[in-house]
Amino acid sequence: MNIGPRAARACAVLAAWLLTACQTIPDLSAWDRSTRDVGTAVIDGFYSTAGVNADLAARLRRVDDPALLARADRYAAASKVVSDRAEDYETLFGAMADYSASLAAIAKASANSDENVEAVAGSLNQFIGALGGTPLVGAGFELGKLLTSEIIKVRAARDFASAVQAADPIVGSVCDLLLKDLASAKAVLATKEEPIRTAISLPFEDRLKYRTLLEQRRTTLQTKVRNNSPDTSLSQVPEASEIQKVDVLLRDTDTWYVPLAKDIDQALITLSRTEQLIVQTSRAVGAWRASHASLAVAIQQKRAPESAKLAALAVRIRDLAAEIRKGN
Amino acid sequence: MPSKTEAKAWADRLDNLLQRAAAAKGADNAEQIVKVQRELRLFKEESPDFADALDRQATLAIFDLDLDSSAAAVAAIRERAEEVRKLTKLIAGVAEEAKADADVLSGRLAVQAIDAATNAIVSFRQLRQSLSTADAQEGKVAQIIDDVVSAVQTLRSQLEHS
Repeated sequence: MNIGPRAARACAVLAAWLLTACQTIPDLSAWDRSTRDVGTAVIDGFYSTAGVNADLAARLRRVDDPALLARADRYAAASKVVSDRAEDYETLFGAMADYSASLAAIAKASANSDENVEAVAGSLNQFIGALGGTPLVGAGFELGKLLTSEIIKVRAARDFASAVQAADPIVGSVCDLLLKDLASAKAVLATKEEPIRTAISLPFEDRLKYRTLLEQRRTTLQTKVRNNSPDTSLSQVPEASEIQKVDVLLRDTDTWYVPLAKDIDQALITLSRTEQLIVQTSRAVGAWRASHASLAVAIQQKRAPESAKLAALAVRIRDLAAEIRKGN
Repeated sequence: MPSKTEAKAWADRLDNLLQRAAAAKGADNAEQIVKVQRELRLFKEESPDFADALDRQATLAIFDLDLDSSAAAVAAIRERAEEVRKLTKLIAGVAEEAKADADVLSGRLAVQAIDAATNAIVSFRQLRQSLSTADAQEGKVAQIIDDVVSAVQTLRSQLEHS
């Protein structure tokens, strides 16, 4: 089979088009990583919120009081709902991770082959041009097969764009839903500080009252001392020795009070970090949404998608999640 | 034994706090709820020993304020569960399509491409051997074939390792 000048020109145009099509796929590895980071942050955020409720339930159950047991059940039920939501999001982000990994794989494969496609396209152009004027048999057939294999990359490029376009409204819906759920999770945490303090303190209430009385007594005595003349010797101040006794008694309470205060502090730090995680995750979801939208535009404009803000937020939420895990 | 006046004063203080708690809860004002919760805790710490029954009511109010304020949020989360599942199905569908496209470069179609490239190399080599080295025009074509074979071999290697 001979290959004429028209066919050669057509092949040359096709080869050039192949090259152009393959070069329009931006690097998606950062976006793929960000998708996983956002997914992990969302799941961590919900599990951590569920954990705060579960911890309250466990502490209330340890107090032998039917009325508190009823409240414990309600905290446990809330924890279950939020935990179930974390599982739902694990499934959702599992699918999302498959999607982003597939896009990244397509982009990577295409990026790796750009050089080869260029070399092949260039050689094919020369070869076809040279064969155009010769009576050599069979060359056109083999060239056709080679070009057919190149179509694979074009198909990947076209479907990549289609996948992103098709997924963008879905990603938008996921983000809208996430933002609503994260706002709900934030509301669940908003009034937790005092319940946490109270739940941890419940077994120590009598002792706390005793310590409060000692503190009040010391303050009263100190006020009396302060009202004396600065020239008065402490040995002449009748309250001085009682202050010393109160201080000793207060120090004695430290054996149970210091661990209790530490327990409360740690629980409140976890609460605070969980709240921060929810807030930062909400911001990351917004950035992730914008990043995916820019992905679709990036394909059209042949440039890399926006991901710097998202990457910065991802680092922050990873750190927060690690701190929460470390604290628990 | 506490005086009736003293006991009533503490009861009035708690009653006032509970009224404010109801107002904050009614307005769904988280900031006010937290403020009243804090005052209820301080009430418990400062109240005298004889006020145990009042303390208990204050304790329950702290938890009820929290549970009531978050109940709506928890219910909303529960109600949105179906939406999450629906979206999971949708994105799984898109992911499946994208995965199939990714497989193009590493799966069945890539194997076909490797086969096609291998066949092309064999054919080009046969063609190359049939060309006369004495003829200048055919020598030029032979050089182009060498370039093409080299490029196709590189392409095949990339596909095999992608």
